[in-house]
Amino acid sequence: MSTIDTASERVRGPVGVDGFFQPRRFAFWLLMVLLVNGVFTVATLIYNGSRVVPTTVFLGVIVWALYTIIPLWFFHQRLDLFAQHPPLGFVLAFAWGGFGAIYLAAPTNTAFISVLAKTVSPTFSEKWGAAIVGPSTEETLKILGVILLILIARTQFRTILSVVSVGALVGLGFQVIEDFSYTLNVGLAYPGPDQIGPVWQMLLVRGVLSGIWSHAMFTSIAAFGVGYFVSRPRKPFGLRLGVAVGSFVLAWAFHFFWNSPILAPTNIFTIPMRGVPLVLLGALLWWLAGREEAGNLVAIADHYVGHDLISVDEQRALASLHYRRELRRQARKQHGRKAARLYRELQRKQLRLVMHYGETGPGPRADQDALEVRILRDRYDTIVAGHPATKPEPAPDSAGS
Amino acid sequence: MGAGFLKINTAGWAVGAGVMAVGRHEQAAAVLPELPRREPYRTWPGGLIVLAIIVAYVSVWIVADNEIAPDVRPVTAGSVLQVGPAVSFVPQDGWYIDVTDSSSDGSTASTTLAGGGATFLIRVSPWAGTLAQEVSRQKKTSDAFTEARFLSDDATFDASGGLRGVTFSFVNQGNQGRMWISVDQQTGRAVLVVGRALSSSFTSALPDFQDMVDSIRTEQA
Repeated sequence: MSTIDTASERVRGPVGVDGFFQPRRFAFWLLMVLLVNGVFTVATLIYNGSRVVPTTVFLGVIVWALYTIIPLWFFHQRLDLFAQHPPLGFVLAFAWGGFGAIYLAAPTNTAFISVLAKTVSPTFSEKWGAAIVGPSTEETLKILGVILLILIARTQFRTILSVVSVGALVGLGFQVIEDFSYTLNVGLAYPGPDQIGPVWQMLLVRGVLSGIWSHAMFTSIAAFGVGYFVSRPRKPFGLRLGVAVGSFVLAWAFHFFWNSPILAPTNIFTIPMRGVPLVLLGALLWWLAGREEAGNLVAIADHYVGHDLISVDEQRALASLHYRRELRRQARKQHGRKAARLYRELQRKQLRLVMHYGETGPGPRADQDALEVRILRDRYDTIVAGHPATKPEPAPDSAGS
Repeated sequence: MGAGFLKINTAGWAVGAGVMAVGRHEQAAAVLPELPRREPYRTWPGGLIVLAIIVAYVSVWIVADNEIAPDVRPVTAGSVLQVGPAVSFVPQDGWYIDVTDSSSDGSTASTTLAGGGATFLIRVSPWAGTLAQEVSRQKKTSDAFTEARFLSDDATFDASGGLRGVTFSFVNQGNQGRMWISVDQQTGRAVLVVGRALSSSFTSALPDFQDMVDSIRTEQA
């Protein structure tokens, strides 16, 4: 750990970031208590459900687990999302959405809908209850989990993307466990003894046609504002608060319309259509957050890392997933699959090197990363040199290319 | 440290700024972000605020739900109440319809009556299985989710209004109750009737339950 204070500077803490395991922080234990309660609640639901519709529960657990794993694998493989935080941060985010928020939302939603039925009318509650209650309760609880995670390890959240990615995981956790509980409810109320049908129906309607972009995207939008708030400490407080509140209201509004009878799908083809505006807005916010992240990465690389470790082209690729893929494509085309695989590994190491510089600055950790990049670079050069199709002007293979 | 291949600018570690051209973001000036510092900070004020918001939000709805009385309206003895399009029954004197807990949601319809510490529910829903399968499902569901214990007094019933099926008793959490389950496989419909009361008043409520079951008319009947 490096400290670099000059005499004139006030003494500050050491350079570096906190992990998410913080047993000396109140916020950590608050999160843990709520998570344990949530796990107990969901486990009880699964146990009780398995006593009535065991096949639905068993198949539902498998189907929704796979439904979760596939997008997580995609994010991990394609978007380098998990380079943002240590795995524990994402695990806690997913767990908060799936257990903490669900456990608190379930009784609150029931009570809220019941209050609407009693104070307005049962018909109004039936028609508009989900649209009013869903976003109010669920967006509030999900974003509070994001705030708790920021309290636990605030140094992990230096960019908007770092908060948005945690928000997406909170939303995904909520969505998957909610989908599972809907599957169980449909299984319990299914108009026949079939225990497999409810699982496929729910997978089709809530998983495939409604997509993975509902809760994950709602929470991403709300988290964007929180990310702006925490990563812009020099901006006026009112502006930061305005962006945070505005993003929450936007997430609430999208969730409201998603649940409202206004956009109620009339057939299976219109179910995915209601998600189009949400996907477009979410994609725009992710792009904006990614743009900031890319600028940071390039600035850090430019400042700390020599072109023998990350060439000019590769430095440019740090800012663009598309260009990173393009370099890998070139490597595969010119030097074969083995070289392309190694080049992907090299890109990941380079990204990690830059991120570590951004976290701790120069030091033993960055030295180790730099050494690993250098070794991979040598291995890659060796493969390229031995490949029969190697051309005299290889694209992404050497320093300063 | 491999100083030979790393450009190190110690002055920039904390607040340094670098600007460069970066591909598609070439117009954007990339400012070197400040390195994070592991400074001690307290999380209990923020944590307590989060906890307070959660407690306030959750409790306000649960308390409101407990405090606000459901919309109950007296029913006229001898009038006919419809439960969905195919089932009707005649309520007894002194009962109230719980409008809040009664619904007609697509293919499933239910009506709840309340009175004298007892409740009487009739639910009509589609069912593509047999009577035995429906009885088994209702028992398992009640056992798993309401901790009902069944008294092993299962018997067939044939109500004077035409409803026929299986009936049995249960107890749970200080309540005693009885279920009547009927399945019409021709129309693919199940009728579930649940009469429930405090254990002390169940015996006095049972004749009303029985009379209302006898009054149930279905399309086929």
